[in-house]
Amino acid sequence: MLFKRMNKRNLVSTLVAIVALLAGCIFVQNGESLLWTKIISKILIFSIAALALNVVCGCLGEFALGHGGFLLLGYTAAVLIATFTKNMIGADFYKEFVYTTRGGLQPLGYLILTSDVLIAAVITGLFGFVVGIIALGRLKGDYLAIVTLGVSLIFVNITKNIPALGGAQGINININLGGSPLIYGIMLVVSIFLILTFMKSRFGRATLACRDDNIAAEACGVAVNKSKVLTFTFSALIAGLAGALYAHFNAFKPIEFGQDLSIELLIIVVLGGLGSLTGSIISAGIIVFYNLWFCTRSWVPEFFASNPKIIYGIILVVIMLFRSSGILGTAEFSWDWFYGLFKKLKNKLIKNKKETPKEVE
Amino acid sequence: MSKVALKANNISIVFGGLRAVEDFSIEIKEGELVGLIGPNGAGKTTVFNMLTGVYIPTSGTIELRGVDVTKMSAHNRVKMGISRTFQNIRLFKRMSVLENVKVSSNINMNYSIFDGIFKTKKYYEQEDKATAEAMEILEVLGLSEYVNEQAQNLPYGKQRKLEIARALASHPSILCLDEPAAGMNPIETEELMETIKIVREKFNTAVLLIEHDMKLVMGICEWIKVISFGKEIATGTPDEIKNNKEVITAYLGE
Ligand SMILES: Nc1ncnc2c1ncn2[C@@H]1O[C@H](COP(=O)(O)OP(=O)(O)OP(=O)(O)O)[C@@H](O)[C@H]1O
Ligand SMILES: [Mg+2]
Repeated sequence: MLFKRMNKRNLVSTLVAIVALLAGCIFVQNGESLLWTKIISKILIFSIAALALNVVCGCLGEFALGHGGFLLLGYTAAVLIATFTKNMIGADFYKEFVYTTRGGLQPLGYLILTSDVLIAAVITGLFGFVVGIIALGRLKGDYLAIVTLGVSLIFVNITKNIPALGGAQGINININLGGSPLIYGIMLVVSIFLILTFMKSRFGRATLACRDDNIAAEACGVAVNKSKVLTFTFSALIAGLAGALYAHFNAFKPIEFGQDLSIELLIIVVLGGLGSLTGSIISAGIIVFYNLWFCTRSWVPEFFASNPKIIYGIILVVIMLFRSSGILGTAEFSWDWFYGLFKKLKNKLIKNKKETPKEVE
Repeated sequence: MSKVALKANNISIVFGGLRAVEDFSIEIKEGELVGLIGPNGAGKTTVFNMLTGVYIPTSGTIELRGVDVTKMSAHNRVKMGISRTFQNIRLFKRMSVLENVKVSSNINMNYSIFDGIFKTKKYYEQEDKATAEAMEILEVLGLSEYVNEQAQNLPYGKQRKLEIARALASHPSILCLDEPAAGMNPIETEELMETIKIVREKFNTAVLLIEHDMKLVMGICEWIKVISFGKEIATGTPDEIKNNKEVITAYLGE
């Protein structure tokens, strides 16, 4: 049913792309370089988070300033659930059936990991539902931005001050379920799939209608408030998934969450293009690569290395001045475009061949 | 005797002291083509806004096919069989022509979010039906060649027609058109009036038409209501309206 309408070429291309992505993930996690594992992991997780934010900012057309808070919520939920599960089942059992001797995961381990992040995502989604009802159900206009900002500030400060929820040092992760690029890659594919099909359904259509014109949407029978709350809940759920994935990777600290993260995600989305999922993924790649690779090179001027965020300001100003719609605007990657490119290239080559003799004459 | 599609009983609305519409009543039977005319600022659009649920009248009641909808929200009223177009075009600019129309099909679909995400049989059945219906409507309005075009890229006259197409997709029993010919040249206007007649026959709906230009409505409406300064000043057939003294005064000014 799912792939009934896809033509064969696109279906095969999609499958090949997914396999290639996952193979790449496996290659990286089997490699020796911790830096590259970290870079790829963070790109994948940030892509998911940016997609989540883009659902609200690009597709629904409302501004949300607190998605970092949802990531933190997903993170905290995942850690608490994982710790609880481990305490319930017992460390001995984990040693025998969950971990491999090399520190990887047995099939049961993958099952526990997957359920953990999915449950955490759902909890975050429920929380997003409540925030959505408060911010969107009654209020109009820019209130969503302000309410989400407020909620995320509350959340960051609570977790900072209650040791059981993280405290200033963050929760000490002794539940490491070996989050790995492969898992992140799979979850990115799942997220893209969920968002694409959601947007193709009557619910996504209502979302886009609300973005373009609330009053007209209402006049066409769309329950605008309900539709907005649903979309926001969906976005929070995906953001929670990203946060939960963060929890299982040793190299990340919860300190990295907070208002800076919300802003960083917003910059990623604006840079990629509001409404373009492809753009969000590309720009997540650029920003993470810049932070984790570029800024750690020895040949990079000291100034950049110690003030990496200066580039964010530059990006915002440059984008607004020269390309306010972001790198991709609202354009999306499609196989038709991809293969069209090949055709164009071929035509150009043939033309060039034909034209060269003329020039000789 | 055909049934009543829309009935308004003495609806009034006050905006901060301004009585924009006062004691307005109307009864439209299924399939009728009715005109609502009046000078600038008479309160025509305000009447539409009350009928469709954008504003709740200060007093009076509104019924759709015999059901009291006075307090019902705008989106629920669409399900009761009323739909409208806007005086200032309000399309979903960045959506395709087809998707614009399909937004209104939402109320005829009931597949769940899981059907949507996993594209079940139900999803395809309902989406396909909506697409087929939308294509049919677009065909009648002469928009077939623009199906995949973004709404904002359509020429002005076509945008007006797309608004009508979108309003038809929710299967209205009463279609309210707010100055659909505004900004069109005489030839386009003529053509639009023909289209409205065809639409009414084909989609089996009553039409309530606001038009600024009196001559225009005279041609196609069965009967006409005239308002001025928020109050009704005349109701009757085009001929009766044409010769009504009060109407002439209202239009020519005192
Ligand atoms: N939301 C509102 N708040 C205050 N006054 C309003 C509001 N809506 C309409 N009015 C006033 O009500 C009166 C009627 O306006 P309306 O738009 O209904 O006129 P109209 O007959 O549609 O005129 P036109 O031919 O120019 O479209 C006007 O004086 C207008 O200023
Ligand atoms: Mg008006």
